[in-house]
Amino acid sequence: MNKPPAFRCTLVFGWLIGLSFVALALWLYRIQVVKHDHYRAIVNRMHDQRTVRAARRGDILDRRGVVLATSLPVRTICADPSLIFTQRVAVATTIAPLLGMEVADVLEKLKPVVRTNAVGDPFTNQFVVLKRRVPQEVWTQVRSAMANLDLGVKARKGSGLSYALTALRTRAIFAQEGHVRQYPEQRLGAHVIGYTLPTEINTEFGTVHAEHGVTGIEAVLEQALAGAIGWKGDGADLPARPGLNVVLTLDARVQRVVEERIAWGREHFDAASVFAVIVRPATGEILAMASAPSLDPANPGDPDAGQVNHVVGSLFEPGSTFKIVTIAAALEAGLLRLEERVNCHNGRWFYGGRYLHDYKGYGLLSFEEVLVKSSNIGTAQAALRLGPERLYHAITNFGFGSRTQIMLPSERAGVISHPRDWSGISITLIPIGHEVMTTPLQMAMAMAALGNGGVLMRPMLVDRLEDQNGQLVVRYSPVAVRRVLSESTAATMLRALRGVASQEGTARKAELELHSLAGKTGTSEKFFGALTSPASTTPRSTPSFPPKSRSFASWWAWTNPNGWPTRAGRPPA
Amino acid sequence: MATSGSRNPLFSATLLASLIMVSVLVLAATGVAMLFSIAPLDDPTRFVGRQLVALVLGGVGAVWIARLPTETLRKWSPYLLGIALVLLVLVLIPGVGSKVNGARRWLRLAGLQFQPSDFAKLAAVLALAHYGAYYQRLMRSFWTGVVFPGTLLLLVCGLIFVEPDWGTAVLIGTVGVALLISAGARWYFFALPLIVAGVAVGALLVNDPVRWKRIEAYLNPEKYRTGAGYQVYMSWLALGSGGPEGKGFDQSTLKPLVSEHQTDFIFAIYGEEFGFRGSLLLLGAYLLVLVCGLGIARRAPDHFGMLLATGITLLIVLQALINIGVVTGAIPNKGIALPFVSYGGSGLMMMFWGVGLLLSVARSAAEATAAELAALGAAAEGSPA
Repeated sequence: MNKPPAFRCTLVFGWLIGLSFVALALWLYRIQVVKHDHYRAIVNRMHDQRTVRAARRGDILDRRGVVLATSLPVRTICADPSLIFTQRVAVATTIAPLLGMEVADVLEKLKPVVRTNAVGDPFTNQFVVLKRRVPQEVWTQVRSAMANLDLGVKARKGSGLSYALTALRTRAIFAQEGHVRQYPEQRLGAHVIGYTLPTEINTEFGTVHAEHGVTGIEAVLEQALAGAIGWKGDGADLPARPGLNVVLTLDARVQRVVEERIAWGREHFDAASVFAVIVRPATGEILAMASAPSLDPANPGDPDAGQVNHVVGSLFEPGSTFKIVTIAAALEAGLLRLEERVNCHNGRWFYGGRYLHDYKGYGLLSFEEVLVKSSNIGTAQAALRLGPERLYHAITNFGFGSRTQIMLPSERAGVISHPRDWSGISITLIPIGHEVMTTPLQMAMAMAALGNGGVLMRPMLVDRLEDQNGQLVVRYSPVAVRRVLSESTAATMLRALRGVASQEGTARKAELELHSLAGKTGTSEKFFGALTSPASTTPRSTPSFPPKSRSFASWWAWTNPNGWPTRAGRPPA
Repeated sequence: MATSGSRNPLFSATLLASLIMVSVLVLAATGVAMLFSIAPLDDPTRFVGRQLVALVLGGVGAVWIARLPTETLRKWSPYLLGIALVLLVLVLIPGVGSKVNGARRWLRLAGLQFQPSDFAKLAAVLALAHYGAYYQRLMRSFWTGVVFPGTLLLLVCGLIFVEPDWGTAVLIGTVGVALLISAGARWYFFALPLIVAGVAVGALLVNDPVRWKRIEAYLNPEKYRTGAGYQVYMSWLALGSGGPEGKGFDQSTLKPLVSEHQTDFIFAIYGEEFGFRGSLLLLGAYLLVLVCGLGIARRAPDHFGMLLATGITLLIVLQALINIGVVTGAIPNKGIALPFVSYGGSGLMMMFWGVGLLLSVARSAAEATAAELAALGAAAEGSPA
């Protein structure tokens, strides 16, 4: 037998390969034993097929249960272009009509975008949104159309092509859960309710489409309305916790009347803006709050929309309506009586180096007549009796210069400067509503304090929060800010202001047959406004008069009107 | 493995051949089981059926080859290489060879698919063994030992390389060089070209940012897991999540994520289902083939048999080593099947025919031993008591 001469070499190769196997075994030991926990954790995470479940946003209701804002389940239809590639046309022509889209648009969106990653490998985009806010029924149709998609291709069972076709039919078009905000009463209460914008909540396990409150109650009570997203899969099913329903103090019927009136008023007087607020004096509940131009919460981006809620977000010189504050404070301080007569200097009074005018020249007027006829000179003299410090204190006491803390965003505090910054004639101008800036809501709350026996209330917009079954979660109670007038002073003031809406007053046309009405009108450089409050707590003439809690304080105002809402030509200043 | 000069009589060539058959059958059975596990639920016999057909054809072929005398194999070897070269050229001609995934590797004949490179592996080993045995005395010379057979080897590898099928080309090249050195060629004749080639390739890599990124991806699959490192990273996840014990037969959860899981990356799924213990078992089976194969080479009655057994053994074991190295990310990604386990008819069949060649050498070794013993017995009888 031939002895193999070079078998040593073969043995060397044998040993080399054998040692390589040992090295490989050690390498496998590192992967499979040492790093087992590491890889197992990654794989567990990959296999965690949890999906996110969108939470339904809570409704916003009026005090009687009229739905002002609600959420409907919708789907966001998405596509994975990497699974579609060559079948774009078939897919697009199938789903475009169902989605109400142009075939060309769908084709464009399905076009795969091939990019290269850091290593230079090409990859295709796997996510594109085809259409948002698609109703559930449409998604069901799209899904079944995709499942039955006929591509004219026959694939052998179990082949790679058959896998690709299954992926195309079941996974190429998919939907994400979400809700869409709807406003059944359209623009009703839009400035109070606010609006939402769609947002995406990205979690580790997927995306949900939610609505995020941008302004109004939608923004202020975002936390309560939003609820909490849930999870599904991995053996567990944690349903989303729906948001709470918000029940407002608004009364949709009152709100509707108010909105109709201000819309009419804006058109009739060609005003830049008209706004009104109606408050229940005893509790501070806001029954209606409206501002025109209004906005459509379903289409908040409209350039014509009035984004500002003037009732809380705009400052005005309150004009003559502000006279109430000075007269009431002087009355409370015992510095005057309403019957007391004061010289109104025939409408022209020189003080502090300047003339102060009345709209109409009066001689001697009682302070009650000063209010009813809106005499600037009479009011200024009442202010002089008070002096700057007490006047300033009275004004701030009524809540001017600070926010009412209503549950609305971007409320403004107003401007009232401190007496040390006043000029010589400030003491005559501030009482008649100049050199001071207030929000309409502050004026309404001050007037409501008169109707509430002198107690200033915090304006209340939300009555309660309920869960989806109508179970009470939180109830808000009326909050008294402070007593600003004694009960008797408040009653006296109301009695006097009743004359404003009488044949003697500046609002003759507002006199009512059945109800008594106290009020005050005012004009300033920019607007005309009117304040009302129930004149008394007892019925004036008829026993069917609503009880005390049904009486309202209100503030109506028109800015930059081209005509004036009184027949008397230019109204009293 | 016998490291000493003397043969251990306990390990006869017959026993070694039996051990190889056992481990090869275990590997093939593992492959069939894995293919059953991997097949889609709606079509559980999708891979298994074809694999079993190839297994039967391979087994019958192996038995037939094992019964052939090594001298016959030696006589046929030049013609077989010629056929292999013709097939390798044919497969490159468009219209004859069919293109799959951008590579021309397949010949289709009467509905049957066939990879000429699988056949070329065996043919090359046979031819080189014949060459080495024929020029036994001249192998130490530069021209006879290196240049002529090296050119032949380059021709085979080159044809496979342009298909392209880099993995198989590298495998045949490595086995061929090892075989020539075993046949007596001086190793340092090969060392110089290898070093030059290595430096050239290295320089090319450094100057090609795209290729360099691929090297980086190979070195750090986790970082490049969305691109070039994806396959290896998924394979790590499969192997690693399998852990020491494995997830159990048919319990793989990463099947859909590991691409080529039925062919080149079958080991990842195997390791996931059977764990580190299973991996060791599989490595052990190939190690047994290595030891027994070289043992048969050691016992071969002639130079041709020794070289043939060495070549076939290296072919099988190196291919397994490269495959597992690729799957575990130890060496850069080159497509190459796991012998006896991976799905693929012609590959499995050729591997079995290779085992047939090994068995043929073992049979001739056993016959030679028997003849030797008989001669010894006759001598003992003939001698005076």
